[in-house]
Amino acid sequence: MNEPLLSVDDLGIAVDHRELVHRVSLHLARGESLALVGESGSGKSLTARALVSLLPSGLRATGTLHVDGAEVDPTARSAGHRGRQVALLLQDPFTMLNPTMTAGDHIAETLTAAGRPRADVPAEVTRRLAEVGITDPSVAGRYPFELSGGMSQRVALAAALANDPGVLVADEPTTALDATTQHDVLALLRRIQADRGMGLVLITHDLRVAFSVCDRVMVMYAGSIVEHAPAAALRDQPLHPYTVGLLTSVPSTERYQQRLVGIDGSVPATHTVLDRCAFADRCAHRIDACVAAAPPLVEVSPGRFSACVRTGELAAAVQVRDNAGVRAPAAPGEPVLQVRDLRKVYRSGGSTHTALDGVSFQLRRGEALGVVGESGSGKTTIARCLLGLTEATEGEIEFAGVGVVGGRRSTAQRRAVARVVQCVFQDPYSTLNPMHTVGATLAEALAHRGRPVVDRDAEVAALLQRVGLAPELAGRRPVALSGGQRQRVAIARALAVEPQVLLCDEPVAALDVSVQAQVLELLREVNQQQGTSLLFITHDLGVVRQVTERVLVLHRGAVVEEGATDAVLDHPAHEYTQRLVASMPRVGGDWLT
Amino acid sequence: MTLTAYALRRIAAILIILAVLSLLVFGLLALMPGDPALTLLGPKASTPEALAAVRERFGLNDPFLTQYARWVGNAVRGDFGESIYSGDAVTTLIADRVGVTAWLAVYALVLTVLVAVPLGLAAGTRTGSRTDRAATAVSLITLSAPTFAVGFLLIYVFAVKLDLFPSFGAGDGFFDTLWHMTLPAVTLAAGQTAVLLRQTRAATMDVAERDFVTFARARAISSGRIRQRYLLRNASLPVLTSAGLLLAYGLTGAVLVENVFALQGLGTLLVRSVAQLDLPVVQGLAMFTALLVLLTNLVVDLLYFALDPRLRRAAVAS
Amino acid sequence: MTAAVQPAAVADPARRVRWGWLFWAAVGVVALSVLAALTVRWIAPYEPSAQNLVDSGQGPSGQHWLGTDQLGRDIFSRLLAGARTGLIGPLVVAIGAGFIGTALGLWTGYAGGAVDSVVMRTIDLMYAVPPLLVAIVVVGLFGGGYWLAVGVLIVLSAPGDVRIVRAAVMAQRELPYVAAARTVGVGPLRIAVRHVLPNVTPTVVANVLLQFVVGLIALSGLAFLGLGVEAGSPDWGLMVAENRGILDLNPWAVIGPAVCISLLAIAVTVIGDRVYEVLSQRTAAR
Repeated sequence: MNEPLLSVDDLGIAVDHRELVHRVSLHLARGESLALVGESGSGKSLTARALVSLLPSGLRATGTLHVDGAEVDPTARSAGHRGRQVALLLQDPFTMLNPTMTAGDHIAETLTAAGRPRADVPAEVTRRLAEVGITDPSVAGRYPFELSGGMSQRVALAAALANDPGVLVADEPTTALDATTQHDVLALLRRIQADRGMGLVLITHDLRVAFSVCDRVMVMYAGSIVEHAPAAALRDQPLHPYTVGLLTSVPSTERYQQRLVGIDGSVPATHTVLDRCAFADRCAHRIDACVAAAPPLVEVSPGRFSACVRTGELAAAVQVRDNAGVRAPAAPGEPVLQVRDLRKVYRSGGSTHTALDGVSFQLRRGEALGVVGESGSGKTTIARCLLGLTEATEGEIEFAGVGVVGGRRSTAQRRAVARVVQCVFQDPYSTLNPMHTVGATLAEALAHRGRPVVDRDAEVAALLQRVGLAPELAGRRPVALSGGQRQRVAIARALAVEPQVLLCDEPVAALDVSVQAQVLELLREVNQQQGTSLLFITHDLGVVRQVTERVLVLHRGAVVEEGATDAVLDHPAHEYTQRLVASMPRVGGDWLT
Repeated sequence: MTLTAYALRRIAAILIILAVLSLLVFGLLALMPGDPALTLLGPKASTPEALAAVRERFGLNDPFLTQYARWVGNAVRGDFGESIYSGDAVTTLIADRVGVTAWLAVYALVLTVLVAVPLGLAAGTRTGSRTDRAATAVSLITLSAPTFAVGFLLIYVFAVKLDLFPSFGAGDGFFDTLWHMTLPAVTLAAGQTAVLLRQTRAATMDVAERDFVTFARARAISSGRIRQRYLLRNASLPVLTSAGLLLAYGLTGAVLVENVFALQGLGTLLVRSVAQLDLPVVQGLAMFTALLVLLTNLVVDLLYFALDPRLRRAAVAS
Repeated sequence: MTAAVQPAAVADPARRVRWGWLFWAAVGVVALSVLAALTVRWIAPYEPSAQNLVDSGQGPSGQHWLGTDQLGRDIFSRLLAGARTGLIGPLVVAIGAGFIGTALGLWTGYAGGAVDSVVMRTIDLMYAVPPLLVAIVVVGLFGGGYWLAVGVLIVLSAPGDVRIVRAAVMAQRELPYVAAARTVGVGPLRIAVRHVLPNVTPTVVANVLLQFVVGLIALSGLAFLGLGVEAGSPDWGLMVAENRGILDLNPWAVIGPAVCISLLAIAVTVIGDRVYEVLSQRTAAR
């Protein structure tokens, strides 16, 4: 049998006496690719860092790590294998490169450090850039701030590979990138891995990415591996209830789902669940045996492992259901919001940047309208203009019952607009004032609605229940809430003002996929049952498919396509929309080619 | 914006600030309690004739703006009048004494940079280490202890008890001056080192946590290169700002240090002139100081161009 | 085989900050100074300004614990009395500058616009001249005493506070919770005071404490130069200046007040650092 290039046995990572990663073992042969999949708090990134002995200071590690047969210390400050035999690629392309060095310098310094004669370096840099698909020679002389995200990530990849490592560990390398760029970078990564016969450990939260890039997939939950299988097998028949839940949670880009099913609850801290199944509290199939002892990762069939005591008996019960359904026909009313020829030009110094270039649309009562676009498309600028957080350069906005509003808003206009449009912002961690309790935040919003508040506490409690939260949360501060809970509070705050339009600016983009479904389901309910119009801004075609009935596709500040959501996604007409749809990750089929 | 355009704009801003300041500085005379003529007469016997002569000579009977215009007109030609006491030209007085203060300020800055930057870098890369805790403790003390307290402590230990260094005077010739200036420079540097050390440490800590440093370590870049090309280079902007401020504000410390060590520099000149109400000297010193501070800031801003590729690119591109 | 298990040197980031012994020692120093200032009349072994030329310039003894100065005044008693000007002036400077700085910083940082430009240009102007030099010139030329010095220092310290608070406010202003409050319809004044201010409190509090230290050092520096406090009064800075001639006879007459100023300044700096750390942990979003 082929000696593994990288092998980890019983890796444990802890801070003080709290374990963060528990008994992780993995083996990677030359030329093989392995995905580590998990949500935030799963320990996947710490595991990745341990592979190159780059754990944050203060963390302890137990277990053994072998690279090419030699034992190395995962906590060593200087480690011989790091960067030479095992390289690491990080997530954010905009922070990974030294802002005071050119792209070429990054590659050159690694080459020089590896002992390559100086005279060869420039030619070699060019060759290395070509390998990652950069053929423009001027790129080598550019600084990171002069590169796009995708370009930076390619340069970083070339720098990481400059030592010709046997294994590349890539930690969420495309999560910060737009869909079309993610598609290209992943395809590149897959090609380079195959060409070089290199080992690849890909860390990702997205099973769809894992399936399309890697041979084998390991699913991590609360610091432990819960399932491990060849990619195709895992895709076709996941065994562990968590894997099934994760796959079910992904909103489908291909069809409308009657019900969006997530996973209730939130991820526990690793050290609190060491003696039991970590997933038990969120699992529908839990029995007493699940919490009596930690279920070991057992080989169910050759090459397939699962850490569930009920693996055999549950085979039929746990299956990914797609809940496909038919969208209820909508009967939108009169327009509540009309945007005409909105332009926004930013000026800084001598240069100008056109964020919005004449955008027009209308939103009717009870309608759910999606605005889809990548970063830089201007989608967030639309939100800021509507909310009066920035002034449009040209164009006008008409709000139902308020009239046309253009330019700077008076206090009275602000108040009036507030009762028409409310917003749910993207970042759950800063959307609530950390110094105010949930109750105070909601009470403040209630005080700004049209009707007087009779019983403040009762209304706050009612609001919390309406978004599926316990009324007791009113006394808590945001620190004590999970991301999903904070986003629900943010929705409650918006609903407190009783607006006609709920503007959602990427409301689930920062949430784990198992939590997204519940928030999306809540927003659908607000729209379909209570008749509040939704203006839903997102980059995610799956989300837009599930929540909206009509969609605008925004590209470089202009609407390039508009129509019924299903029609636009099934038969995109504009070239850009086609590219966007094609680059969306899918569970089935090979979307990377 | 090109480098020249940027420099020109900054120089224009400096001229505006100097203009406003000059109005305030000249206004001091009018604002001071008592008859300006009496003030300008100084210690001489205040006979009516003498007062009239002073009014005539300084044009005190003219409207304020005329007086101001005349004063500015002379000032730009480097003429701030004469000391009421000695009768020496203000510019001569300043020129005679600027050497001592410059020696002190530069010597102290060199000591400061030599100690604070390497120590701050070491402390910032290994927070919580013994070096870090020692550096933090020492900087806490020297930051909070007043300059003159440090000065007397040094005099007591190194001049009175150990008799290693002189406790007053500026010395002649380079090495003698170096010897004489050591205690004053160390005194001045003590507080400055604390400031720069804290700044360097904070900037380094900030940079050390960035992804690009982790990524460099992940690529097996040597720790020496990481320290120089990654940490120091990216921390240099805040450190430079801080060092620039120190040079400008070193003048403040110099007043106290010169006083403690009885050095005949600009600081002691200022204190003496203020005590004697020698207004022309005070005005000249105020304008000179402001010019020095503003020029130092300008140099720092221009150095940014050299260090920040963003600015450099913008300068070349247009 | 297990790899070397290395003990962690760094504290658990999730653990709450403890105040620590250094903080309590610093609080002790400040408490002692306050106590001395309040009770000097009763506890001082000698009347602080009582001269006794027979005993002048003596070193420490059983009678005079820290010796006497040139006029035979008891150094220990004068140190106790010096706590008064050592505390009151800096406190007024810190609170005054902190108040002006916070109000203006909040206003300019949150509202921006014309007021912001005017205030910031004025501050640029004030930065062109080192504050202590301005204080020397103004206090010296106008023949003012201690309170003029305090007033001048308030004005000169405020710009620093404005800048720091303004920067903190501008950082908060960009966060979604502020945008959300605006969207709900909350007015600007309420947002500034109820939303932003509590979140910049660590900065404000730390800055007031820092300003106390700056005020203490500046006031004693002025006193050392013979500006501010009246000649002969028991002020630490002035004592250093008046007793510098007897450094060899009774070093405590110089070292004593110098140490008092330094200790108080260090203590308040320590308190400021710790308070900032603890408060920012409490306001941290996550």
